[in-house]
Amino acid sequence: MSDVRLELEQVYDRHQHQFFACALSMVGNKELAEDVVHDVFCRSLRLTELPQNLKAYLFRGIRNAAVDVLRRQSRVKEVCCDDLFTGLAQPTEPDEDESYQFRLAQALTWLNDDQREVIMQHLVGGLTFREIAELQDVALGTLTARYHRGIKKLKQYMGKSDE
Amino acid sequence: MNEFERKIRDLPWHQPPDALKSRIFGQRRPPARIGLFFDRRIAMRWAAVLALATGLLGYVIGQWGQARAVESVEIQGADVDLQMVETGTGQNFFDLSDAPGDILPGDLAVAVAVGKEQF
Repeated sequence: MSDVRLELEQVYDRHQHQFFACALSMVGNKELAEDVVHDVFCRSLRLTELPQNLKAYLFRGIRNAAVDVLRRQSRVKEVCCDDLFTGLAQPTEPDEDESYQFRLAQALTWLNDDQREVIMQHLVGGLTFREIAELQDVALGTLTARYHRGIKKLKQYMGKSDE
Repeated sequence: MNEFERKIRDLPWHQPPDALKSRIFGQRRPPARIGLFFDRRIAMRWAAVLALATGLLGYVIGQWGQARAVESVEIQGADVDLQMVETGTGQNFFDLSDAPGDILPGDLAVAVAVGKEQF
């Protein structure tokens, strides 16, 4: 087995959930997210040499592939909880944890795409702000401001819904 | 990462199916160079231009080849009616240089059997 193949397989095993979640949060559909991840890894398998920061490189590929998918879609799809999360149903009984998780997930779907993307890449993908700024090709300040505005919105929503 | 951020991270995101890994790594792809050649994607408008240019090129080559081709036509045989007209001189002439000459290239052998003329 070649080094490229071996290394990609190892990275896939370690970070597959993060890659998939980030693709899913952008395209809002499990099948499309699968296609995005599949496409990016298959393309990477053809490389003769892998880049130094392979994880960031793959996240960039996933982002670009997801943007392509969204561009090809003729209509804009509203992302809802069922598209992104598993086993999250509106709680019928006042279970505090379950209710909080449901509301948080719902609030995340209400963020705008840019804010959700940076939150996903930072918190779920585990990328640094610098890495995200490079892969999105935006200024670091713009990116962190976007992140903090998103987090603030989520907190505001969670605070309000607690009242 | 604070508590709030941790809660976002730990949300129950959909997981990738197990089959995805075998879809990616389980199959042997063609060697890189061949794969790159056949997997190249181009825009539809460029594909249309390419198809049109290929068609035109084929037509031009066809015309050129047709112009250069040597046409050979072989006539298996032809019946020629001769009308003998008596001129009253010692010799009779059969003039075949005009109309028959156009359609029958080459030498024309004519045999005249002298017999009893019927008019």
